[in-house]
Amino acid sequence: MTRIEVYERLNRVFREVFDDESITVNDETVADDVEGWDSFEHINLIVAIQDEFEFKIPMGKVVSMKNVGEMVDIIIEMGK
Amino acid sequence: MSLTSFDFFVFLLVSIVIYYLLNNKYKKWWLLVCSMFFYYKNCANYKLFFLIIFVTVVTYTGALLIEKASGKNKSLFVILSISLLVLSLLYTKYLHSLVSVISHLLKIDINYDFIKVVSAIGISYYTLSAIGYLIDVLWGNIKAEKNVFNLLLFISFFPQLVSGPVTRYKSMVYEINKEHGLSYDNVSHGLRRMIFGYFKKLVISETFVLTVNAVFDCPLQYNIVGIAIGVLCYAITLYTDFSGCMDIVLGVASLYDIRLPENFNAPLMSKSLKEFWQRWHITLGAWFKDYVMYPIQASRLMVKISKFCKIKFGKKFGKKIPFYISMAILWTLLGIWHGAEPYYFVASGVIPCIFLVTIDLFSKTNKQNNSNIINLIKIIITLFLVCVCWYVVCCKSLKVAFDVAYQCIIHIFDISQYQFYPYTIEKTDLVIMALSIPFLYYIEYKQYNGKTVFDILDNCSFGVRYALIVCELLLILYIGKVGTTTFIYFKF
Repeated sequence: MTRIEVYERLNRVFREVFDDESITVNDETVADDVEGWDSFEHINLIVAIQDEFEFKIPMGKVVSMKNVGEMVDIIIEMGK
Repeated sequence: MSLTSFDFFVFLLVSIVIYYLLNNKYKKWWLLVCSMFFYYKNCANYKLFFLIIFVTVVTYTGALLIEKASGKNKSLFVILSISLLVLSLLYTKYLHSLVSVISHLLKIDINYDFIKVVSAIGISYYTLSAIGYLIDVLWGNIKAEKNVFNLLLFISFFPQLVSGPVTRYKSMVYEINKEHGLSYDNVSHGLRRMIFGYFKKLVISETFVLTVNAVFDCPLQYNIVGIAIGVLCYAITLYTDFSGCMDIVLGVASLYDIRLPENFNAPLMSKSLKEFWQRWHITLGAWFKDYVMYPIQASRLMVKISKFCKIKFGKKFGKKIPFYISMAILWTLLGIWHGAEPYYFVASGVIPCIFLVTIDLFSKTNKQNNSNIINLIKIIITLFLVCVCWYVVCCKSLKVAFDVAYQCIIHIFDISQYQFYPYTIEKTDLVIMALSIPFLYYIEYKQYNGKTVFDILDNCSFGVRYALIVCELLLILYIGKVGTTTFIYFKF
């Protein structure tokens, strides 16, 4: 999977979870940049990402990821 | 050895002088010696000293076994280690109350004095830190510590032992092992923070608590206004007590050039209950979120429930149900953590959970910036909802809480029959209270907008800064209650 492919699918997930078609994320995007992305919605987002990419993200990485860039790195790594 | 006692100041002074005389590689071992000494001096019973050793040995051994094991053995060692830690917490904190409740409910006479164990200082906090460490090893976030004394220092580091904050191993091990140099900034910041903490606790909190005690020693003498004043005074008492304690703890740690995480971030300015609980006792909330709520929500069972609910109830409402189930579990555990008494469980677990779920169900996300008036109304409503929880704590019993509330409601139109206020409170205390509220809210407002009281002081001239500090010290010495008080969150 390339980074661009991951972002295409990730943007779809973000728009569905946060019910906002205008969301477009990038490497620097953090929770404060997305309306409604709080600590409770974070896990809903993770579950939706796991559903989309069909793998389980280790819980250790769920709690420690700092931005969407790190999220994409994890997705690419898990997808190998 | 309370944080407000003279003994503690002597201990601190000796400890810091020797700390900075030692070579860097010996500093942490000296900290360990000091922490063990502090723990021993605060144990009501000498046998409880071995409790922290037991917790450390279980955690140390468990982590090594978890790291080495694979597959089902990993899960087995995790469950075994955490169970032992939880059992030690249950035994020292809850067993006596549990047997008392069973004896009362079943109306049987059980002699349970033999299991009356005086609660061990800090056990609720360091047990969480230990469990968090084990889970981080399981998740591969950190490597298991090979040196048991390093782990013992992480668990027993004395400033945080009494009332938290609940620390994470990764950040603490960095802080403990980095180079520690004596610097004017660290010592100055540490001392200023401690003085501010003592000011909040000994001057503000200990003044407001007089009204709380006067009202809630005989609450049926007061009308709804009196009760409301009592509860609001409790809110200020609790906040200045706990945040003052944290200022002292973080200030003490700063003296050793160790940075601990913040536990409060202007909670009184919160515009929603959800925001309040994210700004109040931050490290506890974060711990339960990372190690309880997330694993539950991400579990296979919860994902299945989520998919089923989305099909049955639609996408929007369907995804909320597993979230509410996780919330119920989270707040049940938080309620239990706060205490064995039913009223504490209800106040710290049941009521906040019901409020949060109800608000989430019926509120809409407001994406617009509100006017100042709307924000003020939101702040007041949030404080009111939190005070409902604390009202139950003030009453110290569900029956009393119900009886007082019932009386207030049925006599709402003839409130003059009852007292509006405890008239025994002295004028000087009233002046302190009257001045404290705007002062506190000014600090809260500034912090909410990104500037702490220390940032404000840093922008003042040297003369103004130290004049304010001298004023704080004089107020502490003149009207503070030095040496006689303990902190509210000390009892958890």
